[in-house]
Amino acid sequence: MELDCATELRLGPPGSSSSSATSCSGDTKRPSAKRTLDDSRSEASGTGPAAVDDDQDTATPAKAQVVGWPPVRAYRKNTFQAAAAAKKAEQLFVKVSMDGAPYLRKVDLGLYKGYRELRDALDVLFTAKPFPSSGAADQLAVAYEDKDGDLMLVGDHVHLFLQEAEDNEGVRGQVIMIKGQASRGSATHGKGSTIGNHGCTERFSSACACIQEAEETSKKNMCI
Amino acid sequence: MTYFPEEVVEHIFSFLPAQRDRNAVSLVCKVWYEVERLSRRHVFVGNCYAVRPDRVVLRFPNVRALSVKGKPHFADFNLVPPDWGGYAGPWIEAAARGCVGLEELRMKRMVVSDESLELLAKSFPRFRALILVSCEGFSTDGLAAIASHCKLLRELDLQENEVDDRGPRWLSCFPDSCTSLASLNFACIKGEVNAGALERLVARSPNLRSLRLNRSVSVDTLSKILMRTPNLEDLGTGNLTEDFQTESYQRLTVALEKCKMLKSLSGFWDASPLCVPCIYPVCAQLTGLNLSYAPTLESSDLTKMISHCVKLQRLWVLDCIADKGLQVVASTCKDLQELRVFPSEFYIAGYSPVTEEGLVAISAGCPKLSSLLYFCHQMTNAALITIAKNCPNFTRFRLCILEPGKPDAMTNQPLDEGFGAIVRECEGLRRLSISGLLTDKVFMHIGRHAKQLEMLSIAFAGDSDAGMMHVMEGCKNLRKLEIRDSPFGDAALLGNVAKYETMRSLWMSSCTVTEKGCQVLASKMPMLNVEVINEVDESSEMDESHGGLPKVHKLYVYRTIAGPRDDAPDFVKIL
Repeated sequence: MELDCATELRLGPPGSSSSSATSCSGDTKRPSAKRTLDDSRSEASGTGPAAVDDDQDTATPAKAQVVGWPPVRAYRKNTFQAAAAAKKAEQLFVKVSMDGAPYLRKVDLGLYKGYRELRDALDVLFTAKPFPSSGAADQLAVAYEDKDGDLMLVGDHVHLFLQEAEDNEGVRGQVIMIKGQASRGSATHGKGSTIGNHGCTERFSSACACIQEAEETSKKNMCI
Repeated sequence: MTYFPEEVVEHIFSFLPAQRDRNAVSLVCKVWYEVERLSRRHVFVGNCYAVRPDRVVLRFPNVRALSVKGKPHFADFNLVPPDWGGYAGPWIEAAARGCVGLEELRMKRMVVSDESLELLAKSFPRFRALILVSCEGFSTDGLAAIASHCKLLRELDLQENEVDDRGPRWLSCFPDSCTSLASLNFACIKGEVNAGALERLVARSPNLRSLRLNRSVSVDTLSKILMRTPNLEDLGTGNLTEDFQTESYQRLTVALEKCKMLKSLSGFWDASPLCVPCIYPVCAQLTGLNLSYAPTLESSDLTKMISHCVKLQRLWVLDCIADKGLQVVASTCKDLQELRVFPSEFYIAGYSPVTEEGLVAISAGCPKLSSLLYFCHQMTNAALITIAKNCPNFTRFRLCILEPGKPDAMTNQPLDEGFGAIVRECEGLRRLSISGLLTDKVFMHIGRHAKQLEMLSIAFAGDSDAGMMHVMEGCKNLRKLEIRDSPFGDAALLGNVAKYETMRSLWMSSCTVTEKGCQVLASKMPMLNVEVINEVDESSEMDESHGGLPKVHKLYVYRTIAGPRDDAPDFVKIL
């Protein structure tokens, strides 16, 4: 059953596997599927998700939908769609890395009320302990590289960090965790707090000074 | 014939719980018919239109547990128009008239009104259990009636129903004297519930074994509840998406650790990855786990959890788990019997993290696997053949390749041989759903080998009438056949009309059956209802035809002793 149709719907770039035996809309033996599928097949022209756009949740030609297909209960579909809509409203994903950790984590900043929650959450994600201990020694400093290329502590001006993260692709890709006694003089305040700029450099260098030692400990503690 | 007193005969029958056996003994003689019908406690009606409610109640006045199913299975996927039918009212009204000893009612895919629920609540003084699955038409007011009036209520189980939420009042309607609850599932209720009322209800229900909450229940409320239910066996979580609050999650872990009897976990609505560590303490004791509503859990979160679940028998998960996650399942869950992998996205063209490789790994690692539902974007014959050899114990095998008509991903051939292997190796197969590119050959295999098959679902498959005819000839135990978008027409429909009497139902939509063919079927088989369902806006598509005859859009055929139903809407024509 080798059918050659210009409008067949399949994965892969156009022109590949021309002897594909996938069904297509021109076949008179097979009854035509629903109108939606026919239209979308001719528009799709043999490519897969050609117009992949995560923000579009209405059916684009490439993301064609057939009535009642896939066979997933309406209840389940409705549950997902409601959740997806709510999610899209609040998401702000950043990548977080820690030296020595085998892989990065993606974190949705929209989930956290303030810096403390974020720091606690990152602690959970990157260390073996299920809960962050209250001891200062294990707390982390979270830093990012801003648009000038400087390493900035997130906790100093959380709202500025969030602003930059929203505006700037580079920031979203580059949040770094520094393990160390960052609690000494660093921002333990909630969101919206401001600390004078003069403290920044000192805190950073004190954090850096402890990195070496902290990294040894972190390598022992980690069991991801 | 040796004379036995009726009490003795009745006692003997009590060892025959299966409806089929009881139906058989009731045919032996009039005496046995009478004894059997008066002692029947469970009645199962697979199609609510196959028999009139009054007749059931008349024959079995002492029934304790009644199960009724309404709409055909494809209604789950919006293929049956709203207002088609499946009303619970007549059943509840008949039971209220004729069997007041009713204790349990189970309904699936039916339309239930608040008035019916109120009648139910007030008519049966010994009523204990209400289980509604995929139903609609009622609101929380109906639930309030049940809570208020069913003094001995043990079980209120609402699974995936469409419920009109009219506020949290219903939960407070359980009187203080109600202490008999053993199972409460309100996961499908969309709105808030009163946390205090819930906590008090749980506190006065020492027999509570199964509790499934809805999304509105906070982590703190969940923890408080769990501290009161050390004997809980089945839990559906509430809201686990909350902003990360250390103390809350710590309390949850402590509370969960107390539940030594906990075997089954579900819920996890949009659960945050940060809740996963809280579950670790109970993972090792779980036999059932449903993570299929947690699209925010990534493969690594899922595998971390599952790697602790060594006793797991039933796993429902999203395809985010990916092939590598399924490999972890395969190496950890040696007792796995049922696996369902759902799609996290519903588009037919795209990338999915699960492929045939994940399923092959599962089949190799989990030899006890007997029930499968697997959504993926690609499959190969080679994989299916391997899977069939690894797991000959399949009783339910449902494979859904998301793109209709997609061939073997490696060879571009149809998947006939792969599915052929499944039906050949799995002699106990009772339920099968096929997908991908399939010719008439696959139906030849099915007809030849699937001798225990009871339910078959076909979509976008086959070349000609011969396909369907292979199935109708060969599958001796077939009860339900549902087909969509496949080239089967009148010849197939009429090829073996006597068979429909041995089946519960046939569904055909977007096939090439014509109204004339349906007329012929109806006239040859008066004990069938032949329903032609035509939706108005589709009538313009009827141009493509066989010999100028309009094609039937949707056809539903079922055996019945009730005659044509009188509650059919305008768009349903009963021939």
